[in-house]
Amino acid sequence: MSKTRKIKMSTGYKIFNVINHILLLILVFVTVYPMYYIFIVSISNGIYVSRGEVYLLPKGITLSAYKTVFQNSDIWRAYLNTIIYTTVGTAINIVLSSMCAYPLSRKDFYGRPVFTFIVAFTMFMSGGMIPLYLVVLKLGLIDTIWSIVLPPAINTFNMIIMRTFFQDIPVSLQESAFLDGANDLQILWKIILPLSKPIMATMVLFYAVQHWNSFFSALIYLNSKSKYPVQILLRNIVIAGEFADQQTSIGNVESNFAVVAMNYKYAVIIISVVPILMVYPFLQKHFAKGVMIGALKG
Amino acid sequence: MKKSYAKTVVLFLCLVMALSLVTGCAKPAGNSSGADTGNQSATAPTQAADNTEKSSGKISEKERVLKVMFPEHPNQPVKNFAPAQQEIFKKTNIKLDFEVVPSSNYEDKKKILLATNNLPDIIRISKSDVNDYGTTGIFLPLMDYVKNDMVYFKEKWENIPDLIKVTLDGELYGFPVIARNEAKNGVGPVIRVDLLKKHNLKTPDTFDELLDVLAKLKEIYPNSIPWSMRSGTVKNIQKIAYMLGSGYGDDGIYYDYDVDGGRYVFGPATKEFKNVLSYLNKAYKMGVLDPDYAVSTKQQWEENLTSGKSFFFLDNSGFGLNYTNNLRKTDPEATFQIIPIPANQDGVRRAVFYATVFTGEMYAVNAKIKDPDTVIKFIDWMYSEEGSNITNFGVEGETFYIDENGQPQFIADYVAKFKDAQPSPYYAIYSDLGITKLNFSLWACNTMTQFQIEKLTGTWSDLYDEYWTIVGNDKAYVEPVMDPPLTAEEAERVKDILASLNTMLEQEYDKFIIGVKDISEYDAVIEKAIEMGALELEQIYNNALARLQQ
Repeated sequence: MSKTRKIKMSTGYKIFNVINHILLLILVFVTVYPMYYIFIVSISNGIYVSRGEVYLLPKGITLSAYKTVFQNSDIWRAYLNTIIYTTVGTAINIVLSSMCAYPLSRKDFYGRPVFTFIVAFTMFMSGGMIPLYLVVLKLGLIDTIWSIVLPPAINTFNMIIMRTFFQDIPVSLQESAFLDGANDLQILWKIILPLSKPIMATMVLFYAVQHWNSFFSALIYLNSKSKYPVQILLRNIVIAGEFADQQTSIGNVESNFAVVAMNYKYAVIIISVVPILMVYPFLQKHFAKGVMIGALKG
Repeated sequence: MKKSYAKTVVLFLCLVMALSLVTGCAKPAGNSSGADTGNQSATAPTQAADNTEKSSGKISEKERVLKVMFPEHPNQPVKNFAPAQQEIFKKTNIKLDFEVVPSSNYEDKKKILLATNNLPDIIRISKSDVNDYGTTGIFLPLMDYVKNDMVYFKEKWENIPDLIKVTLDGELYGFPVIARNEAKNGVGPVIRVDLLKKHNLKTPDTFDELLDVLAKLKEIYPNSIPWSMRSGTVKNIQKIAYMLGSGYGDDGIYYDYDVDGGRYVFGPATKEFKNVLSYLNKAYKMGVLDPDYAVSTKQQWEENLTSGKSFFFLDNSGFGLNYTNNLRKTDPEATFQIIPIPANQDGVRRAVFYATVFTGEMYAVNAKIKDPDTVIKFIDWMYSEEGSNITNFGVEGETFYIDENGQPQFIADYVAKFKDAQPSPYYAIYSDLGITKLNFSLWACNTMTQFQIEKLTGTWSDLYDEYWTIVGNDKAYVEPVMDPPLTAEEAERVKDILASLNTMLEQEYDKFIIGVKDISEYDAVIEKAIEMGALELEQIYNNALARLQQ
């Protein structure tokens, strides 16, 4: 079948194809190489790195940079904290966002334009850092997990994507559920959510990545080191590396060991990125579909 | 119609409910924080100076917790209640509770706490915070305590007259961290001495000879970049300007010992500054200076030096020893070593040490603190020999002993445990004990402890001794001068002038170095700089200095 239907490719098309592939390959290289470079530097010997000899293949493979990072005993606890903040935070996000999005998606919701406006307004105006800090302080949330997970409980933009998705579910479904005696919560739980798996997966990913990467709220709201998420520690390592500029730098990190600042930093980047990167493949299918549906028909 | 009316009512009720919930929640929280501040402010400085001479003989009668906030450097993770803090608790009954903030974002957090007046008991601040927040009343004014109640700190205060520059309108708002036995070094010329020897080149004694030597090396190694730089034009002008008879400071304004017996000068607006630019221009034209000097990053700079592509740098001279170690992995002869400061075109040798005695860090006390007298006593004790030994060497008998000269020395058995620790033995020890400058120490060690530990672990080498001897014997270095405190209006004016002035100037430097403009055209730039307020800047600083000296 397929043989008979095959259309003969014209020369022009062939050339186009070749050029297309080359361009795409270059594009792939450009996007993948930085990640690859970070990886090979993180496992190379510092001497070769500082001499600029590592660019295609790792040289003098060693894991000492990773060892150095993990020798910092705070890292493990911080990892645990990050996982807790991410799961608790994402759960709160999803519950509250969908409970906010559903009423706003219903055309028969009284005062809908007003509420939509009030909610959307926060996308463009915010109180600013200091007022926010004062609110968190007065609510007694400082130095607790709630200061991390509650202030960003609903991301307006994500919520609106969700609302738009809910709007596209035929109203007749909900009406028939009503006729069968279901109330609003039951409709949300039994009709809407089961139909919204793609958007839910997308939101989980959006929110989880946001929590995973967030460091600033933890920085200002948390005081005890034991509550710090991993990003704070890692960021400190990456940024504060340029330390010796103004001081007697003899025997600095860079001198005595095979680990130079760059290995160390790149190992840190790998460590912080890989776990969340591993989540993507599992959600990717829903992810692409979900965003598209939300956006295109919005 | 009826239905929608009912809905409006329901909606209204919902709103009322939600609002009452919010206010209901807010109340207890508001109360508790009110009680909090009440507690802290119920501390009218009772003149309890005599009462504190208590039976326990410790600084605090009762067990007391003090919250201290300071930045944490990634090389030295801070543990709460490490041995040094346990020892402090034993001696003084004061339990230090550290709130550490990653150093990369310490400024952000500090600014928020200062702006919301939500400080811990003791907080690390910088000199500029004193200018910005000193008059707002969030820091405890300290001058009276220094004069009347303090012993150890007062002694230091009187011995280091320069410290008066951390005051604001005669009032002290933070205790400066004072360095103890710090080895001094600074920006200096570092060259591949092994290559000089190999090719029979004389160690350059003047800056002109330096260029000649580098040019010869360039002839021998045509692919090399003899002189590498990092971090941009301005940073490098900052480093070299003073040696060449001008100066730059941080923003152009600097203190020159040799002008009118010492005064502030705005470097780029002087005739002397032309020497700096023409010298760099000469280096550029001769092919000695890295053609990419203006955009070269630290990483590229390091790459050039450790791969043997570059032979000279003028930067933190301590780096030389690090790069030597790296170079020797492939070339066992290779050696970067500092050379004495060469003479400039006027035959003068000058250079500045890094600030060592006071590096700009201070600890302020919360104005709302309870029983400030005890806290001040405690802080005073931190400046004592005993306090400093504990906060820099740990526990006497366990981690250090006092030698015959009365100086603390680390115990070798203790240090040996950290021989292979990462990122380096001394950082690991500092972190383990909770000591030195990067922890909470007021009379703080940095190099003194580091040298001791390196000598004990065997990472010390002869090159280090040679380095410190050369720096130590070089008479060219002078102490840096701490800027005098400016009033709020002065600081504002300085900021204004500098912003426009430096924007104008920074565009010019490269034109002269690369040679797009001839150096004679720089006179016009000087004129323009003076027009834009360069002399006013000098005046502001010199007046501030004179005010202080009165």
